[in-house]
Amino acid sequence: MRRLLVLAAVGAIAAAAFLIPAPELAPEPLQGLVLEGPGLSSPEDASIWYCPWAQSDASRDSVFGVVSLAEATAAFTLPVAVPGQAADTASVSVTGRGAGTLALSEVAQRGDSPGFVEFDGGPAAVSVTVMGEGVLAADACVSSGPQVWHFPGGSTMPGEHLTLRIFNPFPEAAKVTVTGVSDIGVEALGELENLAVGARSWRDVEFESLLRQRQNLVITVTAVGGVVVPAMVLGNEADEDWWPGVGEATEWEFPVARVTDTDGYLVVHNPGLGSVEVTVDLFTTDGAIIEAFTATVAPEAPARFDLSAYPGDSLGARVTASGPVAAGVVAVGEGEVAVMPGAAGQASTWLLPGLRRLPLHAASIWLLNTSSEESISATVSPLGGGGLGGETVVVAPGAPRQVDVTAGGAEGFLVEASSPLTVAWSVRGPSGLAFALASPVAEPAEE
Amino acid sequence: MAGPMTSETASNLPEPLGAVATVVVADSAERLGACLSAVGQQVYVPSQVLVAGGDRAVRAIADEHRALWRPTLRAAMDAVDPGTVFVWLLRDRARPRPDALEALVEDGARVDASVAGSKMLDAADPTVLVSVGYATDVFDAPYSGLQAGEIDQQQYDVIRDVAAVSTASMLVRFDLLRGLGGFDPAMGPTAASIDLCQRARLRGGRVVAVPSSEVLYEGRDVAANWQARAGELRAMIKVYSPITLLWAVPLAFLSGLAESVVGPFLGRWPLFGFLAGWLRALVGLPSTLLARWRTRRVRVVGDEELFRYQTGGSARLKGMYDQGLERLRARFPEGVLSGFSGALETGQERLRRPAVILGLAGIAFALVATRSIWLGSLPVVGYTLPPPESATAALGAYAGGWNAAGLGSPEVLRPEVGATALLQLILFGKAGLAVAVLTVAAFVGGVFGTARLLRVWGIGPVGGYLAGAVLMGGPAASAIASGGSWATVIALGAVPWAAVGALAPWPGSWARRAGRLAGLALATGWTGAFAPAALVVPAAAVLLWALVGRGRRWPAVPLALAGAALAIPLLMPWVLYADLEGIFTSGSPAFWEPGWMMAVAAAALLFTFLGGDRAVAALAGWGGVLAAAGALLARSGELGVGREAGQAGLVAASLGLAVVAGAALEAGARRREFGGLRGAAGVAAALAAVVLVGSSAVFAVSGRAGLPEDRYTGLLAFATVSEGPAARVLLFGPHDDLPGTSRDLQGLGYRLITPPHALSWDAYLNEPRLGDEALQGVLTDLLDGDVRRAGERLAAFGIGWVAFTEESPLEAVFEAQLDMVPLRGLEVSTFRNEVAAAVAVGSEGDAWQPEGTGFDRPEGAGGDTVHLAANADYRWGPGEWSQADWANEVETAGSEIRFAVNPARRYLAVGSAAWLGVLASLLGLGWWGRRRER
Repeated sequence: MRRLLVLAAVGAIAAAAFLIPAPELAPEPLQGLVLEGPGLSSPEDASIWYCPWAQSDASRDSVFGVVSLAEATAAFTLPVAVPGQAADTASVSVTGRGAGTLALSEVAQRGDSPGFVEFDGGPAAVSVTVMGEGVLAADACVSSGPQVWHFPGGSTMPGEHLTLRIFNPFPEAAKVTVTGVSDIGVEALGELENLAVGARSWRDVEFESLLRQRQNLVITVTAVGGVVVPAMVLGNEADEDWWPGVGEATEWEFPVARVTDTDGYLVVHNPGLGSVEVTVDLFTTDGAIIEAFTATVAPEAPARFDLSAYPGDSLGARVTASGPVAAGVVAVGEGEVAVMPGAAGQASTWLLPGLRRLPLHAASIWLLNTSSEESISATVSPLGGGGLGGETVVVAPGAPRQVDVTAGGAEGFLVEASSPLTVAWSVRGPSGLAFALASPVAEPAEE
Repeated sequence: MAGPMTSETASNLPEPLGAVATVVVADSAERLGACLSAVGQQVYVPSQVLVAGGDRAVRAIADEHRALWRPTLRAAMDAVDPGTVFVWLLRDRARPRPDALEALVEDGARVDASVAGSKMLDAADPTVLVSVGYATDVFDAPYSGLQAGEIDQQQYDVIRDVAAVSTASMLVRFDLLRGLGGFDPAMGPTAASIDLCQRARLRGGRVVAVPSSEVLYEGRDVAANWQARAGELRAMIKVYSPITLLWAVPLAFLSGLAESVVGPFLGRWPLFGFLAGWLRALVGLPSTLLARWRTRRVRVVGDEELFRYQTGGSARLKGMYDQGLERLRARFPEGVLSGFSGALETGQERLRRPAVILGLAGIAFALVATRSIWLGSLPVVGYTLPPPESATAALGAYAGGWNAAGLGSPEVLRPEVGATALLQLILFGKAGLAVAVLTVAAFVGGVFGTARLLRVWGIGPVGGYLAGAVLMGGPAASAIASGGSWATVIALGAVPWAAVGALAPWPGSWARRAGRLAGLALATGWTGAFAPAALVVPAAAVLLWALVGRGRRWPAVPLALAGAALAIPLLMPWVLYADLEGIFTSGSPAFWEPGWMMAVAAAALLFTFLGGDRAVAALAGWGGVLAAAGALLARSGELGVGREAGQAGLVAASLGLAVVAGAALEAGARRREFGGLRGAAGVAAALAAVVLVGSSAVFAVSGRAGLPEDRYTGLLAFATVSEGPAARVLLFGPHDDLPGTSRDLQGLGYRLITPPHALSWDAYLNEPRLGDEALQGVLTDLLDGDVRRAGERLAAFGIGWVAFTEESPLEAVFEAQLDMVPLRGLEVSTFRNEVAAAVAVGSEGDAWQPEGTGFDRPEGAGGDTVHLAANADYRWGPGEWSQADWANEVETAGSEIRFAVNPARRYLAVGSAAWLGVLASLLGLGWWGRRRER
C-alpha cells in the first residue's frame, strides 16, 4: 500500500511536470523594428550632409553655405586622400534661425576636397558653390540617397568634359559599378565594374576619354558594397556645373529649366526593363503648356526633350511618367552651363543655403506651383547676414515665379509656403550660370 | 577417467597404448626436436605422436621422429585414431619429464578430470615455477598466484581445480576436445587455454592442475597486450550470460582505463594495447557472437561455475599494485618497510574487492570526464567563466570591494567567486589549478558521496559507485552541465555528502557529533556557495525521505535544517545583500526537456518497486519523488521559476536519479532472495539502471564535464592585440549566447566585456545604474537612427569595440557610422571604434592600467585627474571624488585609484572565513574522535 502511495505520488508529480507548458518563446530580437540598412539617411534634427564636389586651389574656391532653423553647430570634416592623415575640420555656428558660410580656402587649399557636414541641431541644409576662372557651379549637398544613383544630362561632345566623382565618406572601402546608356544604347563600361573606392576617399572617372561624342549620356552608379555619394560635373571651356545624382520617381519638377538666353533640354532616363510613357509639361510666365512633349521611352534608354521648341524666357517643367524614371535639366548659354536634377516631391518649407550675393552676379529664387487651380502664397526670408525681412509672393498656378535676391547680405534663404510647391535657385554672372535645387524640410509627422 | 593403464614389460620398455595421442603444436623446428625427444622418453607411451603447424623444417623434424605432421591443430585432431581416449597437447617449448604423461593420466583419472594440466618449471632453472594452473579474474585475465621467480618447494603440489591450465602441457579428453573444436585460433596462447577450459567447464567438465606432472618450459610465450586483451574479451563474450556481460564488459573497459592511468607510473603504457584490444574485439564481434552461440547452446552449468575459480577485482591492477610495492621495497631497506607488511597484505586483499575496483573506476570516470579541464582549461561559455588571475583581487572584490561586471557597481559578488579564490590562494594563486581541483573533486566527491549515502541503507559499493556516476553524469547532471553552469556542477558533488550528514546514524561521542554537524554544514555551504538556490536541496531531500521513507527518520529533518542554517554564515556577505527572491525568479525561464533516459529511470523505479524488498523499494520511492519534484521545479519556467531555481531542481533530480539507480542495482543483486517474477523484476530494474549508468559513461566522452564547447576563449582576442590596456567590448547577441547575464535592447542581448573574455566575477550584472541607463540610451538612439558617430558616444563608456555573436540587423546601423570601422575576416562581426577609448583615462589622455579592480597610473603619465568610465560611486579614491555625469572623476596625484572597501562587508567576509575555520576544526575533531573509537 505504501509503495502504491509513493508510486502514485511520483506519478502525480511527474505528470504535473510533464503537463507544464513550455514558456513562450522569446520574440526575435529587434522584432518589428525597421533598421535602416547601409545607406545615406539623416535624422531630421541632427543631420549629416555630404558634399562630394568642393574644390579650392589657385584658380577657384568653394563656399559652403549652411542654413538651420534652430541653433546648431555645423562641423565640417574634409578627409585627406593620404592614408593615415587626419581629416581637416572646421565648424560654423548658426544661432537661432540663420545661416552661415565657410570658404574652403580657409580650411584647406589642396584642390579637390569633398567632405561632409554634421549638424547638432536642425532642420538644416548645406550647399556648395564653386566659383573661379571659368566656373560657377552650385547645388545642394546630399543628406540621403538611394543605392542606385542616376545622372541624366551628361554629354561628351567636343569641347565638353564630363567627370564623375565617387566620394566614400565612411571608414570602410566601398565598391561601385558604373554603367551608362546613351543614344546608341547601353555603353560598354566593363572596366568600371566593381570599382573600389577607399575609405574616406574619392575616385574620379572622366568620361570624355572613355565615351567620346555622346550627346545624351546617362551615367548610373550602383553601390555594390558600402555607401558612396557620387556627383557629376559637366563643363565646357567657359563654365561647368555640378549636380548630385537622383533616384527614380514617376514625377519630377524643375522650378527652373531654362533662363533667358539659354538653350535648355530635359533628359529623362528609363532604367527599367519596360517602356515608359513620359509626358513633359512646361510652365511659362504666360501659363502652362500641358503635354508639351510626350514620348515613349524605351527601357534602359534616355530621351531628350529640346526646350528650344518652345522659345521664350524662363521655363519650369514637370515630367510625369508611367514608370519610375530619372530626370534632369541642362541649360547651355554663351559661356554658361547649368545642370540640375529634378525635385521628386513638393514641400511647404524649403531651405536655400549658400544663396547669397555674389559680386556682379544675379541670384534668383524660382518657385513652381504646378497645381492647376490655386495660387500659393510663399514667404521668402533671408537668413544670416542680418538686414531684410521676408518677402511674401504669390505663386500663381502653372507659372514659375522668379524672386530676385541679388540685393541684401543674406547667406541663405528660407521659403515657407501655404501649400506644397518646388523651389530652386540660380546664380548668373561673368563666371557662368548655376542652377541648384533647394532642400525641402520634411513636414513633422502627425501624432 | 576410463582407459587402460600403462604396464611395463619385462624388459622395462613401455608398450604403446591406444589411449593417448600426443599433439605437439609447433612453431619452431629448433625447439620441436627437443620436445619430440622428450615425448619419446615418456614412461606412458602415447599411441600416436602428431605435430601440428609450423613450416617445412618443422615437418622435416616431425618426419625424423616418425611423428605425423599436419598443418593445423584441427587437421591433427582429425588424424587422431578414433579409439583415442585422451589427447596430450604440448607446445614445442615444453620438455616433459619422462613421467609427466603418466602422472597426468593417473592423477587425472583419479579425480575424473576432463582437462588436466602439468606443473610448468623454467627449463633454464628447473627450481623456478612458471605455472601451476591459473585462476582468472572476472575479465578472464589470468592470475597465476605465483610471485615472480618463485621457487618450487612443492608448496603447490596438490591436485586442485583451477580455472585454466597452460596450453604448454594439457591432457584433454578426446571427445571433449572434438566437441569444443580445439583452441580458438583468434586468441593468443593464454587466452586460448582459458577459453578452452571455460568452455569445457560450461559442459560440465572438470579442469585440474596435476603438479606431479612436471614439464620444463623453454623461454616464455609472449603475446602482445592488445592480443591478450582482445582474447580475454572474446573469451568473456563467448561464455558469460547476458546479464553478466551487461556489467562485466563496461567494468572491463573502466578497469582497462584505470590501468592506463596507473600504468605510466610503473613504466608501463597499456593504453594503446587496451584501445587496440578493444578495437580488435569489436572488429571480431560477429565471429565471437557465432562462437558464443555454439558454446552457450550446449552448456550445462551457469556462470556461477565460471565464477568459482575467479579472483576478486582485476588481476592486472593487482599485478600493478604488487609491482608498485616491489619497487617500493627495492627503494627502502627492509627494516623501514617491515612495519608496512601488514598494510601491504591488507592492501592486496582490498584490491581483490569489487568495491576497490569500482572506486578506482569512479576516480577514472571523474578524470576522464573532466580531462579537458585539468589537461587544458575550463571552456569559456555561458556561466562557465574562469576565475580572475589574482586570487587576492577576487577575494578583495568579494569582501566589500568593487564588482567589476559591466560598468561596475558596489554590489556584492557571488559566493562562488570567494570560494574559488580562497582555494586558488591555497594553491599558490593558480587559477587553472583551482578550477581543475574543484572540478575533479566535485566528480570524485559526488561519486563517493553517493556510495556513502546509499550505504546508509545497506546498498553495496557496486550499486553505490555506479549510482554516483549517475549523479554526476546522468540525464539531469548532463542538463546542468550542458546549460553552461560549471558552478552548479561543483555544487552537485557536495549534495550527497550533505544528505549523508543528516541521514547517517547519529554518532555516540560528542566529538564525532560535532564533526558530523560541521561536515553537514560544510557540505551544505559548499552547495550553497556554488549554487545558492540549491542550498535548500539537501534539507528538502531529507524532508522527503522523512515523508516517504522507512525507519527512524524524522530526527534527520531538524539536523538537515540545522546544517543549512549553519551553512548560511559561510555565504556572507553575499547572503545579506542579495536579492534572494530574485535568485529564484530571475534569468531565463526554467524548462528542462529530459530525454528518453527519464523513461528508463521510470522503468528502473517501477521494477524496483515490483522486485525490491521494502527497504530498497522505499529508497527507490524516495529517489523517484526527488527526481520528479526536481523535474517539476526544473520545468516551471511558465510559473515564474528562473534559471537558478531550475538548476536547483536539476540538482534534486540528479540526486533522485542516482538513488533510483542505486536502489535498482541493489534490487537486481538481491534478486535471488525472491526468484520468480519478483526476481525477474529485480533483474529488469538492474538492467534499466545499467542503461542509466551507461548513459553516464557517454557523458564522459567530451572530457569537459558535460559543459558546452568553449565559445569565448579566443573570440575577442583581437581586442588585446593593440598596445596599452584593452578597451571594453560591447557584445551583442541572443541572451543565452552571451557569457553570464546580459541586458536587453528590444529583445537583443548585450553586455560589456573586458577582453579577452569575461571572468567569473563578470558573470552577474548589477541592477542598472546611471551608467547602464546612459548606455541603454545611446543604444536606443542608435536604433532610432539618431546617431552617426556612435564611436564618439561609445568611447565615453570605455568601449573600443562592438561585436556581434551572430548576424543581426543592428550591424547595419554600425556600418552606417562615420567612426566605426568594420573589421572583416574575424570570427564574429566586429567594429573598431576609431575614437580612442579607455576605462580609466588621465587628464593628459593616458590610459590607466587595470590592476585587479583598480587602476594604476602608467609610467611617465602626468595629470592630476582620472576619468573612470564606471558607474559613479563616491568610494573611488584616494583623492577628491566627483561625479561626471554618470561616471567618476578622481583628483589624485598618486599612482593608483582604488575602490575603498566597504568595511561592514569586509568584516562579514572575514567572519565567514573564520566560521569556515571553526567548521573545519570541528570536522577535524570528528575525525579524531572516529580514529580514537577505532
